[in-house]
Amino acid sequence: MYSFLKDKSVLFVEDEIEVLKNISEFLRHFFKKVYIAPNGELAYQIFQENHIDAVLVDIELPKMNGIELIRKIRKVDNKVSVIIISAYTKTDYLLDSIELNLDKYIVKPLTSKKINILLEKLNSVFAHQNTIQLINGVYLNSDKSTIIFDNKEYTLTKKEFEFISILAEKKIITYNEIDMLWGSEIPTQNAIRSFIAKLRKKLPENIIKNRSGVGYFIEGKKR
Amino acid sequence: MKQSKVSSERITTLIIIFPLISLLLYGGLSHIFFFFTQYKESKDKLEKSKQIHLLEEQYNLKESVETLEQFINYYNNKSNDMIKDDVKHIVNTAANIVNNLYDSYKDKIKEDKLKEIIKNALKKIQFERNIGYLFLLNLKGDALIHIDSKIVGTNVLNIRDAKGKYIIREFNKVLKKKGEGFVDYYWYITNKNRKAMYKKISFVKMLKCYDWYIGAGEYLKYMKHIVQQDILKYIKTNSTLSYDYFFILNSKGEILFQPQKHFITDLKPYTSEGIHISNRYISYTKYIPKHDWYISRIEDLKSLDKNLDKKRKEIEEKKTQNIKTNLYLIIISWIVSILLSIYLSTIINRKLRNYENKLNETNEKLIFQSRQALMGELFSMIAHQWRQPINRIASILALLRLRINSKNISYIEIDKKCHAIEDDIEFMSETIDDFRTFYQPKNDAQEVNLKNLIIKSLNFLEGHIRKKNIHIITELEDIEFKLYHNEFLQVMINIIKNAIDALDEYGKIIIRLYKNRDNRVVITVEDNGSGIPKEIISKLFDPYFSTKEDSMGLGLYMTKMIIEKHMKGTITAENRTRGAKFTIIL
Repeated sequence: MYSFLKDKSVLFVEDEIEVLKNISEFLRHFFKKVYIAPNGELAYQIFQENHIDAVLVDIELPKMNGIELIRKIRKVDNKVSVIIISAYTKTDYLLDSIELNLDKYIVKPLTSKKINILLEKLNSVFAHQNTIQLINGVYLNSDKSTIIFDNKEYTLTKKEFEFISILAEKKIITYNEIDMLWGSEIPTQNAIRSFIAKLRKKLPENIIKNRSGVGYFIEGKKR
Repeated sequence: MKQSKVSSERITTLIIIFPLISLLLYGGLSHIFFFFTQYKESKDKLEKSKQIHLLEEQYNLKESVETLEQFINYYNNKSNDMIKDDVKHIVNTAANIVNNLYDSYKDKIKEDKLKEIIKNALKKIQFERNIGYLFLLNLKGDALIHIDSKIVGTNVLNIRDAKGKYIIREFNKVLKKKGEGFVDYYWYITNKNRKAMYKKISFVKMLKCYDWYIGAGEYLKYMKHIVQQDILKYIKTNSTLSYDYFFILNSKGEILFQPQKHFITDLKPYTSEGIHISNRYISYTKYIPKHDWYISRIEDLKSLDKNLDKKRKEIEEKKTQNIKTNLYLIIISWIVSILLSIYLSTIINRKLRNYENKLNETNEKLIFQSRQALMGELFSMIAHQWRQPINRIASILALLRLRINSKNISYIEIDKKCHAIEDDIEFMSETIDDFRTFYQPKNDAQEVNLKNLIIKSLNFLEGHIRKKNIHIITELEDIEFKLYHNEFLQVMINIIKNAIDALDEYGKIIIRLYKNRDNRVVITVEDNGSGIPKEIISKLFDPYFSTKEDSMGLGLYMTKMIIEKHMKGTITAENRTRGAKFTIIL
């Protein structure tokens, strides 16, 4: 579950200590690292000193409120995922939430259901970081050279990744281009077939098709 | 409230007193004015009536004098006729005697003898009034009988009067025409060696016998004297005329007539015509040239004054009557206006009282409404307060579920978590109870611990306090006090909330509760904000006054009203060196 969270660190900012304690414990089950802060100032300090992938922040905070905190963070980091968890409804901070490039706005109280929605959202955000959609529901993560579909991630070999990357850009990959994957040596027909067979196992069935004499293409790809 | 009652009473007394004073002033002044005008008027009237009276008197005097004059003139005219009548009477009587004698004796006695008898008889005839004398003449002009013996036996046919008239011939003419008649002529009378001409009137009548006629004559001058005597006699005897004050003087100043009693010593003024007014007398004098008379009527001014006194009394009486009437009218109008203003003031009083009652009712309603308005705020306060435990409960439950799902939990831990949840639910329940009791419109005044109530009000405001991170410092003594605890809560919430609103984040509020030296309860709420702006400090407790956009401006007004009306206390606001301070004294 939430595989994309496992190597991520999260900062949880909440002034109610009991809630901070309980929810941070909950989060620790899914994240690599959970940072906590009871006020805005401390939160910003932690954010600056550590690598943070996501910030979960309440609006009503002592010393520096949530909106101010996010604004400050956004000045230095436009990529970090930010989710507001507040007693206020989203409409109260609608304009801010657009400007602040939020990923989610969750209204308190934080029940398990809401926490799961939050985690799912973060998971999907991380999943789609550096990914290209090949076809509907099938993504290529160029960062990690993985294929993601049905919430599963398949690690590609160097040759497989290059093969898919070419297909992501072009309609069809020619035999010449496939040959070039092997560098100076020229692959045999069998070698190519076994390569394609292995790759097909990491992809939904029958999406890689052969056009005889030309090369391979992905079915259903728009372009 | 007390103040307004006092002022309304003052208004009603003013309503009574003000018009009364003005009426009193007006009435008094107008009466004084009226008094003086009456005084002057009566004086004028008196003066005028005096003058009128004097004029009247003058007129009366003149009239009565003129009446007398007329009477005298009348008597004068009449006296001429009287003389003629007298003379004629004498002659007729004598003629009758002669005729009778002649008739009786003409056949019996010789003519000469009869003539002698007749002559003697005539000589003997005496008259009651001594006027003139009888004379007997024949038509030839021979004087047969005459008072002047020198004339008897002479012929007087050619005698002429002072003006040259042939008197006897005139007689003959008259006799030949009518057998009798009057002839007048002028004759000289020597008196004290002075010869004067006087008018004389004679009557002649033919006798039956011979050619004789008899006559008699009289000087009018002598008659005048008689007439004067007659007039004076008449005046004296005529009692119907009040001639007491008539004087008759001649030009020499001799008194011909004067009243029986008089005190007039100086008669000089009464020998000239016209009106004379002296200090004591008023008179009118008229000259009658025929008699050389000065007729005067003199009136004593004292009697005039008597009349005037009467008049004065009348005027005086009328004046006092008028003044009295005026005074009565003023008093009546006073009484009426007093009654009216009392009536009016009672009406106004009643109206004011009604208005006050209504105002009280509205205030009562307003208090309730303001509490309901506060309810809206309370609701959000409670929502704030509930958010915390709800969030807590939610987070506990979320963690519980996670641990249960991963089968990584002990029963001890579950019990601990449940306990925490129960605590939160307990807190929520308490909050809602507070809310509900506060919502109840009226509860009885009861002994309550003010410290607890202040803490409760702080609990209500917990959300606001937390949101702004306000630091609350309390120095509260345990004080029991009898009051409506909801209203006290309302007051405390209003004041503390006011302080919170005035503060920025991390502000400080100090709340103290203690008893002062007079054993009165004092509650102070002090903040370290920017204080109350000078321009609004006087309007702070006015209704519908607010510096906040979303406020009706009833909060502090209601607070003041509740404290003053229901708790009989006071609330004051002042600026400290840093921040504002509200002080409630109960």
